[in-house]
Amino acid sequence: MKRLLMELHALQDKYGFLPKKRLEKLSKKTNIPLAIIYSTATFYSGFELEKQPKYVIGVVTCPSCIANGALELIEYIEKTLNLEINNPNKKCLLLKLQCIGRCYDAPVITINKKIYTKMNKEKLSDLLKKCR
Amino acid sequence: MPEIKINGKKIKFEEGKTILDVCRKNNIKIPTLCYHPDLKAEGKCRQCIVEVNGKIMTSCNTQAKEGMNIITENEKIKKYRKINAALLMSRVKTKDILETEDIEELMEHDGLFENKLRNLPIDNKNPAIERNINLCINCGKCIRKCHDVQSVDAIYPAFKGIETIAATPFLCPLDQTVCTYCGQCSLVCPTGAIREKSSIRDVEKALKDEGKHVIIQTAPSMRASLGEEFGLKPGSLITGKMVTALKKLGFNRVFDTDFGADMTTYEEAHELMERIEKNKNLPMTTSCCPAWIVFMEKNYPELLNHISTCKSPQQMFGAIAKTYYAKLHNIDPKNIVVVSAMPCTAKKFECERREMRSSGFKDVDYVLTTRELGRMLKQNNINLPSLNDSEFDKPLGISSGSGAIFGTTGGVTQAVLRVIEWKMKSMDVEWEELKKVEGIRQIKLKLGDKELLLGIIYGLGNARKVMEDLKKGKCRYDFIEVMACPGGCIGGGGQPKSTDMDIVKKRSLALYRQDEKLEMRKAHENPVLKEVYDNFLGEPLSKKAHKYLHTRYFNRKK
Amino acid sequence: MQIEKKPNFKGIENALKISPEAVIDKIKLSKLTGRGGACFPTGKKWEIASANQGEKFFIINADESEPGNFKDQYILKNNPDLIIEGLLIGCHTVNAKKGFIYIRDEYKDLIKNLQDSVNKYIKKYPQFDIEIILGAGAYVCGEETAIIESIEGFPGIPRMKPPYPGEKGFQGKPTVINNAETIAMIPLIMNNEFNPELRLFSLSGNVKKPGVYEFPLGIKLKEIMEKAEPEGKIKSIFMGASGGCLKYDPEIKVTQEAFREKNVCLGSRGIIVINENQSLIRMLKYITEFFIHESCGKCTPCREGNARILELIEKSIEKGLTKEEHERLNDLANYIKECSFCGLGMSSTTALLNILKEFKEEIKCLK
Repeated sequence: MKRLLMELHALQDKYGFLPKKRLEKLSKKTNIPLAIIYSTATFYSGFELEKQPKYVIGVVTCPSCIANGALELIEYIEKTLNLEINNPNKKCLLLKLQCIGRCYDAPVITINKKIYTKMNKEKLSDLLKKCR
Repeated sequence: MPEIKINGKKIKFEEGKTILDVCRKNNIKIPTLCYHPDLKAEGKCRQCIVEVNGKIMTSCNTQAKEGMNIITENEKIKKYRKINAALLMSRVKTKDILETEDIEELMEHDGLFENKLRNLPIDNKNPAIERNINLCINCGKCIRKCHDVQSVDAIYPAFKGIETIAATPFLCPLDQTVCTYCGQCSLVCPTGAIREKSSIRDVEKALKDEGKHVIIQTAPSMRASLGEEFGLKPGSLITGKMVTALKKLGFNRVFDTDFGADMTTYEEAHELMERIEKNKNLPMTTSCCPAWIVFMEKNYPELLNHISTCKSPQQMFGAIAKTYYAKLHNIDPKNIVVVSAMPCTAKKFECERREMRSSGFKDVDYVLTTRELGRMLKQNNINLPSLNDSEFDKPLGISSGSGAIFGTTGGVTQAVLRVIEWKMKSMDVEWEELKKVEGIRQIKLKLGDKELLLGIIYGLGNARKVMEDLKKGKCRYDFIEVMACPGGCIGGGGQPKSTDMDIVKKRSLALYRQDEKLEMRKAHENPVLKEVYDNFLGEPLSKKAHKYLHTRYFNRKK
Repeated sequence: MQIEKKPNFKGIENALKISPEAVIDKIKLSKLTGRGGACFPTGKKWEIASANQGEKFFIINADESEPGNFKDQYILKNNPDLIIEGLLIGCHTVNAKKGFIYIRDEYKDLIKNLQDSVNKYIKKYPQFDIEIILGAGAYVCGEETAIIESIEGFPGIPRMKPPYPGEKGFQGKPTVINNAETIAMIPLIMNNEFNPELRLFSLSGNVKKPGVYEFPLGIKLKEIMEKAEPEGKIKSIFMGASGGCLKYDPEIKVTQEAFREKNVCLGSRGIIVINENQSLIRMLKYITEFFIHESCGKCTPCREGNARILELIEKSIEKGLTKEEHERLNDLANYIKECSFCGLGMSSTTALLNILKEFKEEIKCLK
C-alpha cells in the first residue's frame, strides 16, 4: 500500500484537484477514516479540493522575492489581467505563494505549478498573453 | 519522594505526575481549557502556562521533575493568560455560548480583541446533535473523544492555521458521517458548539396541551447525576426529589425506565438462553445502547446478527406505555406523549427510528438529556436539592434493583444473570468482578456443565477492538455487553458537563447502593412485569413479545 | 567545496568494516551537530536510537522550506549520493529497518536524480530499504515530529515531546531524523575528509551573486557579503523568516553565539540581504503572512496571535499605531515567542522583536 500522502499526490496530478468520490473510494480501499483523509487533504497547500481555474498564477512573497520586486509583479498582473489577488475570474486565479526555494533566481512566479524565475515585467507580459 | 518548589514552597510529589496534577493535589489553582483528566494531554490551548526555572511551559503536559522551581502566577503569566483567553474568546459570540462554567475565567478577558467570527452553517439535520462551529474555540476535546476514545472518527481537525476547525469530511452534516450520536463530543465541549439537539420546546408545548396525557420515564443513571446540575456532590442519589421536580413541571405521570430495563432484562435473558442452547449467533451482544447499535450498523453490518434483537429499555417502555398502559387506563394512545429523560444523546436518534412504532404511534415522542432536564428545571425555578421526595407512579414506575444498575457498566450483565440463575438453577460467576469499572473485562461464567466467557466493554474504541477480533474469528466471548460511553450510561453523552472517570465511578457506586437497598432486586420478581406478560404479552420471546419488544437493524455502511 | 566530494561507496564500505559503536564514536569525535538549525550532536542522537531495541526507522528531512534556504536543494541536485550513502550508514548503525527521505513538493524535479541514486545504492546493498516521500506544501513539516505525522498520512501537526522520536517516532518506533546536510557529512566523516568548521550558506536578496556557498563558522559577515556582492547599501539581513532580522554589522562574526547575542538565530544559515531601499515593516508584513499561512493551527498563540500581529502591522503601515497598540504588538510578540507549542510558533516573531528593538523608526506610531 502506498502512503496516503503519495496517494493524494497521484490524485492531485491526475485530476488537478482531489475529487470527493475518489477520496471516498480511497478511504474504502485503505481503511483510513474519511475524516482523516479530508483532514490531510485540507491541511497541505499542495492539494486542492475543488477544480481550479484554467490558470493559477502564484507570486512568491517571501523576503528574497520581495527584495527583488515581487510586489511590483503582483501589481502588474492585477492590472494586466484586471484581476484581484485571491479573487478568481473565469479563467485565472492570482495567489501569493510562500517560498519555493528558488531565492537565487528571485523574483519567482508559478503558472499552474510550473516555475518561472528571474521574473520581470517584459517576461511576464509574454507569459500572461494566454491568460487574458 | 522527590520534591519540587512551587511558589517558593517545597512540595513532595509522586513520580510521573504532571505539574498540573501536583498543583491540583495541593490546591494550587491553574486555569485550563483543553485539559481533561480522561483525555491525552495535548498542551494545545496554552492557558495552563506556568514558569519552570524561569521558562514558560504548559503545566498539563510537563512532568514534574526533582528540583524544578515553579511559579504558577506572576505579572507575566497573568498577562499571557489574559492575551491567550482574549484571543480564544474573540473567535466566538459569547452570548451564544450555552453553559459557561468551564470557561468563566476565559470570558473575563473577552473584549481585548475585536471579534473575528466564522460564518459556517449550523448542522442540525440529525435528531441528536447540533453543531455550530461558529462557537468553537479549538480546545480539541471533541476530537480526542471521537478519535482517541471512541475510534469513531466522524470529526477530525481540517484545514490549517487560523482556519482550523473540527470538521466532518467535506463539511457534510453529521448524519452523512460515521457518527453514532454517542454525544461524548458534546459532553466535553466547553462552549456548546456541539450540543444536544434540544427537545425542551417540544416537551413544554406538550405539557401545555390540555388534551395530551404526558408521561415521563427517567433513565436508571439519571438519578445519580442530575443532582450535579444543582451543585450536589457526584454520586448523590436524588430519585425522590427528581420525581417531585418532574411532577412540578406538570407531567401527568412520572414513570421509570428501570421498569423498561426489567423488561429488557427478562426478554434478553431468555434470548441468551435460547441462543446458547441452540448455539446460534454467538456471541450475543447487548442492544440497549443506541450509539452501539449505530456503530455496528455503520461499521460492521456483517455482524448485526450477533446483536440481541431486544429493544432498549426506553423503547420497550414506550411500546408498553402506548399499548398496555393506554388500554389499562382507557386513554387513547394518540393522546399519550412519552417523554424520556436520558443520560444520552443517541436516545434522541433511537426514538426517531422508523421501526420504533410498534404501538402504531411513535413509541417514544421526545428525549431530554440530563443537561436539558437540569436546564428546564432551572428555567422553571425548581431548585431540585430543596425538594421533598416523592414516589414514582404506578404501574410503570415499579422496578427492581436490576433496572437500576442498567446505568453502569456490567449492570445489564448482572441483571440478565440474575434471571438466568433463577431459571437454570446451576450457575456460578464472580459477582464482585462484575461491579468494576474497566474498559474491557473478561469474566468466566459456569452454566450447568458449560463454561462460558462474558465480555463487558465500554467505549466504542474498545468495542472496535473486540469486533475486529470477531470479524477475524478470534473472539472467544459467548456474551458481550457493550456500552458506547466510558463507564456506561453514567458517563453518557447527555450527562452533566463535569463528567470524568472519577465522577463516573461515584455515580456507579450510587446505583449499586440503590440496588442493594431494594428488596426486589431481580427483574422476574417485578409484579408489574408479571402482569404485563400475563395479561398482554404471554411468554417471553412469544410472537406478541417479538412484535412489541424486539427490533431489527439495518446496514448503514457507506 | 567539501559537499561536492563524491563518496563512491567508500564511506559505507568503511562503516560496514567497523562496528556500529565504532561508527557512533567516530561521529561523536567529529563533533558533527545537526545542520537543520537545532545543532543537536548527531552522534548522541544515533546513540540514543541505537540503545533502543526492536524495529527502528531513519528519516532524512529534506523538506527545506525556510524562506531564503536552498542548501539542501544544492546537495540533492549536485551530490545526492552523499545523502543516500549517509542514510545507509545511518540505517546500518542504528539498525533501522527502513529509511525515508522526505522531500518538499517544490523539489519534485530533483526526485528522478535522487531515485537514480537510491537505485544505484540499493542494487549494491539490497539489505536496505529506502522510500522517498513527497511533501505537499507545509513548512511545519520541517519540525521532526510533524514530519513523522506527515509520513504516517496525517496533517503535519507537531507532537508533544517527550517522548522524543529517538524513543517513539514513526509508528511509535524509535526513529532518527537528520537534516539532509547533516547526513551528507557522514560519508565524509567515514572517509576522514570532514572539516567540522565548514557550513553551507544560502545567500539571496539584494545581492548580485546569490547562491550556495561554503564558509567556515567565525568568518566575518563582511567577508560573506564580499562574495555575494550586495546591491546598494546593506540595511539588514534576515535569517530566513524565522531567524530574525540583524541590523547590518560588517564586523560581526558569523557564529551561533554572536548572533544569539543580537537575538538572532543563525539557524540553517539562509541569509537574505536587504538594502536601504527596502521597507522592513513591509517585509515584516509578508513574513507574518508567511507564519499565518504555515501555522498548523494547534496552539492558540501561533494560530490566533499572528493574525492579530498582522492587523497591527497593517495599521502601522496605513495609519500608525497608538501607544496602546504599539504596546500590544510588543506583548503579542513576546507572548507568541514564549507560549507557542513548537519552534515554528516560538520563532515566528523573532524578526518582529528585532525590528521593534533595533529599527524603531520602521514602525509608524501616531503622535
